[in-house]
Amino acid sequence: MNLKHDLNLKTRKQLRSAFQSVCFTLLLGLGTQLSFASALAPSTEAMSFMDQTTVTGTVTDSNGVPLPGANVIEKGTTNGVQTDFDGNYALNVQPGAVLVVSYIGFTSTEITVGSNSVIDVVLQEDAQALDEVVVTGYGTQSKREITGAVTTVDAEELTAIPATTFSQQLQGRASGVTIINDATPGGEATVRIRGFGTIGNNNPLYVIDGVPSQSQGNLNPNDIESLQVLKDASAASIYGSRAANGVIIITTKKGKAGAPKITYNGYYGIQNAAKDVEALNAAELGKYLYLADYYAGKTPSHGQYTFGGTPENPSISIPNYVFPSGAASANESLYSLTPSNIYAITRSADTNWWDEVTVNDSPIMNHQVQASGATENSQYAFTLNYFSQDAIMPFVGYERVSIRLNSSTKTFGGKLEIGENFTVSLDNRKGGFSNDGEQNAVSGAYKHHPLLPVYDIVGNFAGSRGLNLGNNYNPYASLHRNQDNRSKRIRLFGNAYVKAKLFDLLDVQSSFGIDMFARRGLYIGRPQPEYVEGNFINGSTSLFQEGYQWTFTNTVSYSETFNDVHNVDAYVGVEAIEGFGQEFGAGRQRFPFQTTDIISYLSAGNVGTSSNYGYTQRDFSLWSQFAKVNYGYEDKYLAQVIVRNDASSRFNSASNSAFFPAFSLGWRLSDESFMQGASFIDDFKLRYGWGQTGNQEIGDYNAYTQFTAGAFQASYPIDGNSGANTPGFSASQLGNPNARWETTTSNNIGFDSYMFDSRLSFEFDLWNRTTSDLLLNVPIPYSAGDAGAPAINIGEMYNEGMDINLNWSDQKGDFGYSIGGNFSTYRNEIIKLDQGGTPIFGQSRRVPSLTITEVGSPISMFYGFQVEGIFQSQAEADAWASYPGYNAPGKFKFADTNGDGQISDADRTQIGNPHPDFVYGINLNLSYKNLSLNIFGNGSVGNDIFNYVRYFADFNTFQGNRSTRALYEAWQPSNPSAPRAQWTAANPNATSPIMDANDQVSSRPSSYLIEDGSYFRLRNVQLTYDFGDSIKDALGITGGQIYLQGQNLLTITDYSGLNPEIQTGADTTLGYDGGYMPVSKSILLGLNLNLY
Amino acid sequence: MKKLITYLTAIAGVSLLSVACSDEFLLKEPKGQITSAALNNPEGIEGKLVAAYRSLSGSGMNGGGTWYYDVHNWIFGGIASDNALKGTDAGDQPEHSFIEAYDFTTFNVHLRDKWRSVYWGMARANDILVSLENVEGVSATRASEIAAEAKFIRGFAAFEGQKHFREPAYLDETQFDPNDTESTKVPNGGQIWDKIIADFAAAAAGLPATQSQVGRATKWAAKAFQAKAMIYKGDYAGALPILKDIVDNGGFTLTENYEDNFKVATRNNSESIFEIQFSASSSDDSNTNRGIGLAHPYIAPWGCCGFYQAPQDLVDFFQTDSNGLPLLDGSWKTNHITNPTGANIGQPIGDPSVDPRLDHTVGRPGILYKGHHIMQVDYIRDLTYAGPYFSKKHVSEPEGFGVAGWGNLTANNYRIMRLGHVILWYAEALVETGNLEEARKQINKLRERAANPAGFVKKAVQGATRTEFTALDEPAANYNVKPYTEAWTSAATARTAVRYESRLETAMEGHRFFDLQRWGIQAEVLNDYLSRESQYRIYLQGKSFTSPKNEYYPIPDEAINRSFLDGAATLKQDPNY
Repeated sequence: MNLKHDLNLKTRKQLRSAFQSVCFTLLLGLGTQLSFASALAPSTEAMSFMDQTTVTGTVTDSNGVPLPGANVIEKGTTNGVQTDFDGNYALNVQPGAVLVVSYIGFTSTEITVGSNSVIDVVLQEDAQALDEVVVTGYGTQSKREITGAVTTVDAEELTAIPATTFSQQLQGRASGVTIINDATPGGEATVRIRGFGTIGNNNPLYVIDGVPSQSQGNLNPNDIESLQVLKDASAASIYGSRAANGVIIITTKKGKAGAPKITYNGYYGIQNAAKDVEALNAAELGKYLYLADYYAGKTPSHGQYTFGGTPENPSISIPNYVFPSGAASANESLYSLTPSNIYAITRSADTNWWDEVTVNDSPIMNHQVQASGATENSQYAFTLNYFSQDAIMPFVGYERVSIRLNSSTKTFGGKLEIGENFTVSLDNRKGGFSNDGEQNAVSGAYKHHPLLPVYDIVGNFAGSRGLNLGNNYNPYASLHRNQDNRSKRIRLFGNAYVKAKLFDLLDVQSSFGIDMFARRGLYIGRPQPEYVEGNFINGSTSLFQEGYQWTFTNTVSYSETFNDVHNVDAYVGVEAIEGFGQEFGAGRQRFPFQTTDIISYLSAGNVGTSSNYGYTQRDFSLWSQFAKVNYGYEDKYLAQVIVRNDASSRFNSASNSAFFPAFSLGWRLSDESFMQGASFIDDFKLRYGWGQTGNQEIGDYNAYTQFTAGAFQASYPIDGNSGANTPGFSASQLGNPNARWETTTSNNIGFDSYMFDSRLSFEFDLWNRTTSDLLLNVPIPYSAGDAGAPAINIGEMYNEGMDINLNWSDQKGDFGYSIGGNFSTYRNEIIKLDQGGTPIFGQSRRVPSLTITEVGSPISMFYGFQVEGIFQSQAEADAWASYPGYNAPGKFKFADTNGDGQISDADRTQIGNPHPDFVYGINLNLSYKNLSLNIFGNGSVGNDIFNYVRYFADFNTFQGNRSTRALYEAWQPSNPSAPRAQWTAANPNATSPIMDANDQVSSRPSSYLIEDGSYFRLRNVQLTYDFGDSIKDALGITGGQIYLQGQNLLTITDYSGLNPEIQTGADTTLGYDGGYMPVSKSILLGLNLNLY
Repeated sequence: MKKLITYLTAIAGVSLLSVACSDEFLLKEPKGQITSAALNNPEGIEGKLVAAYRSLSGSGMNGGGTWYYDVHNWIFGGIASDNALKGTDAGDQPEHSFIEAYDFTTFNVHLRDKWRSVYWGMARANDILVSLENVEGVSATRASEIAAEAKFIRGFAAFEGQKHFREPAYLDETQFDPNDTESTKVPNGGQIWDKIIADFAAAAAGLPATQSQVGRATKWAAKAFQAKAMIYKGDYAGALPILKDIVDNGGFTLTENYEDNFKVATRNNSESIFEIQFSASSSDDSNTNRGIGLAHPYIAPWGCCGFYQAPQDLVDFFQTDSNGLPLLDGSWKTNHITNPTGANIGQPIGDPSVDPRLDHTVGRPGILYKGHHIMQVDYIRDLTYAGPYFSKKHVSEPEGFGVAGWGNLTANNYRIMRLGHVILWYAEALVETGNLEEARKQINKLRERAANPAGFVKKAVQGATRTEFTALDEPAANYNVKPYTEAWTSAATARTAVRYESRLETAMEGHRFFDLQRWGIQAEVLNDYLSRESQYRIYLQGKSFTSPKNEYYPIPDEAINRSFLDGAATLKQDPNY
């Protein structure tokens, strides 16, 4: 890797001003240059005919409700109008003309104009949903025309699940998408579309009302009108360099023609922990400790318990006090908890910590008011939403308020439209729980000593000061002390656009979108003097982040049908994106007062303890040109070509530009004559697509070698000063000016079909994708120093898989039902890493890294020793491959994988796979008259989890509590008083190793800690009553529903941890359970009211 | 249709034009970071040099575990030896336990970071030597001093590498290209003592005898390290004149009180030749002694974490005979001066006569612990696991107690090179070159200093609360240390005496494992130690030291994995692993 620079920076700077002005003139030019004045004039072609007659009429649905905005077109011409607010139209046509009347969601109708000058049209609703128009990029397409792999999710089903973000709701709803949720209130979801394309960032791109974003955070999911997932490159490549991980396109709700509406939607529910931990009580732990000492060859003794009896029948005495340690009595008047005299007298207890750190019936609620309407030339939709959720743990919660206004106005006979979609949301994460924390409340519930009470004798929090009590925080006290921690965000997101129709031929659109956020974090550190490693010092840290990303998009689109059979749909566009974000933070300690209103603001802290920092979070720009052409021949033969060129600031100028092509083909077999015999097939479309997409998420300054002046890395008290450092400079990041785009090439073949009068719909896709020039932060030699490695194009990765969507629905009189399912699977393989194939290890905690990413395997495989069982006797232990000082009755049989007769590092191997065999979702709807029932569940099959919690709970790790497994499922001898060499198994089927207070070897990363993480979760059971007309008569309102909903009522899994859904930060460390908040079971009551 | 084509062409033209204009829009240079070019000036190179010194301190490495590669070498030089136990409880940091048990694994993350830290220091030093060629505005004199300081730092890093690994790699500035990480993939093979010695010799030639900034290497520091490397290499004759020069002409004197080498208040004293500088302020803990932060007692004011305890073996070693001399016949091994187990664990048996350095080296129950409290077994995290004794030398006295974020973090410098060490090597070289009498004289300097009653730990009486005590004007124990008054009768006796003195003077300073290594007696001493200590610290049962395997640590797997060049690893594992 050669990292030499040859940037001629001076020259570039001189060019700056000149270029900037030219750039923006040109960009703006595209939006405005095609001036409205000349172009908006009514088409002259349509006015030059003679002998015309005027036809008028009303377009309605089958119930007689007028359809405003329906298209009425004289067939074979561009002559046409839209119906007005009352569904009326008037159109001059030639004699004998044919009218084509169409409306979204309805079957188009053709009517020959005879002698009647009044033609009323009744449109039938389109049962096939084939004409549903979905957004697939910078334009829309009907589903009939789609040739790429696009999944559309029913917005109503999606938003039925109460959740913080749409991505959480998406779980189990779309094939090809694997989602792992975070059960913490305010938590987001990890979204992976069709596997893992790269080692670094695998997050999809979100495009909301045409504005791209990398963040799923704090948007109101109830604003969603429709959601599409672009899964393969032939669909997604219109987003070029950011589309390699797939694209999720969201359109928010707009006002619909008809009477103005005001709706209210709300629910309130209660939540309870779905699962309990399996920890020992005080007496059981005493027994465990006795046996662990005894089996280790020690005389059982403990700082708190008093031991007696024999190993066959140990007697465990629990002291009256744990502080003073193990005392039977204490002079309680000597109590003191001051820095100079810590004598926090604490009585012993038998605490179930899980009960202490969970609360029953935590509330969750949502209230939303929406006002919307539309006239012929304008529409508006306004929503106000409030959502709040308390965790199943005390003092932890989330709330959000969001306001959205979408509106648009047309003039010039509908040919000029200006509109906006905009939302502001404020959210607030409260309290101090974070997943995967050694000291979080979940871990504490496993680990904190059951002899300890919550409070000491005077009501201060009790803690682990005292002998042999471990080093956990009091988990309840932690939640209590962190209750004023806040992470408050404001996000402004949306766009304004102008659309013009030129020459009745071209649609020109210019959109400016913005995604801005600011976040204030507040973290209060309260003294925890009762904690064995604690102190009396308080402190407070504040941080502030702000960032923006703007997107300026200009497109020209064109749509035409030639000779009735050739459909052409095309657009070209240019787009500029720029993002910037920064963070700064500060802290102080030793506040004189700890009231929240004081300690939340830094000034009252001791100035001598001030610390602060600041840095840029992101800083990038992207400049792109793109085009797309769709061609259809009688809807039978379909073709699409997409090209995009992107230039990114994240690459050096020589390599910053890349071209992403794609094409796809569709063949509607059901329209072929040879298929006419198969009458049960209503529609069958075969699709094939090929395309390339890119990835540029490699950090902003990858091209540059950077030095830091950070005190930790670079300063040193060279002058011998005991209180201050001399600053220095050290390389923090090596640059790679030669990096270029990583490219993902994908193939997709599939079909969409509707059968049996459209009762059955079936979508099937087979796909593969290969990522080449994979941008990898290569593990550089340690001899190069400690600077971070730059991303270089060296790796290669392959994914393949299958997506299936299947749905059956039918109506029998008043009874309707539908059953649907989706199934997704992927297989991932690393083809190439760096030249030495250097494996990449994931995070290491108290044990060496548990995951390995290496050539020939999927990303992030579990790595360690394979346990083959437990030695039942000394003879068996002696006969095994040697492990000096370890092999003994009751200990693990570690596999000698290399067969060299000894257990060593070289025997570590892959011991598990975090990737599921497949994931699936099942949805069932039943309805009878006004009642409907929805049942929805999702699951994952075949993924392994590394249960790191068991490293603490099952083994001799620190001195806190143990799991029930560690005592009851441990191997034990039937003759414990005999010498170890003569031990025989009391329980040969034991699964845990013998208790041994001196054993550190059994807890080495091994297959013992790997569990099957498969699960099925009944996510939603919802019974809805629709008021129908009854409410109208009673209350004078239009309609509504009331529903009762159960969430997560059932989870079927063999996983022993609290939650089989494990999110981890880096994709090189997957499925690593370090203590995750469990999902809650909740019961909700909801009400929807329509007022109009 | 024609119009359409015209417009589409126009749009395509505009698009293409605007591609060309995008250069400036797409130029995003780093903000809040410094580029390499900005450092080619005196301020830049001096700043890089400061950062290179930073690499000596065993903390500050990006992505490195804070205490994995600490310069105090309390893990690799300490708990791997007969001077220290891991401490705390059995399940805490098992990676340390594996080192203590001589189960040296190639994926031990602490070992990995020790290796990394060696090459981190070497890389920073080499980067300075390379950068010097591009820097403008630095005087020739200063440039040559900077080069000498860089070579000192490189030699220091390489020395750490050679002590830990049988055949480490060595890179110099001719191989090191900061813009090409592949250039640093150099093979290992053989020992690198000559390169280390050459680096220190070059540093000694280019450095001034004194520095205005006390943290910088001087000519004498370089000489001391040069001599130390020669002693480690076994070149006693070569080291002898350098050591003599330092002792006679360096201007260093032993502090009056032995303990002054282990307190914050007496940093950079008359005995110091080179100290690893630490600093701690109430807002900044970045340059504290954080690498040894875990090794503090398990009681307020530290509370964490109970690592680095002392074995019974070390306590017993400090007993003296009626003449105030150590028991060179090894009889200390069979005579405990304190209770290794039982109800009175850690309490003295009778009133044994001990070397006063014991209570500056080991915290034991009943004895005032560096002015904090009278130590009791509540200092210990799990008494039944690692016994009642605690480490002491690196812990700050209350007056210098950490004011940074975590109380264990202080500015107690690590005296990696003090006159006391030089005297020991000088005596050793004298013995090995046949001058027993001069050797005895040198050793007696250390014993006479130890015998200064002003430096004895004082007896203290417990007050009403745990933190209260009254110090009396009398010694805490029966301290009895005296010089060797009779000539050593043989080289063997002299060698034993010097080696005993090395342990007494430098115990728990992180050198013991490497002293035993260079003396070639690791297996003999450590297996003997294990056989005795495991009677009380029973988790040591079944552990053993294997020669030649355990004499050095294995090269970490990840280092080898990262060294591939043209399809083959450039680093070769120690064949004993």
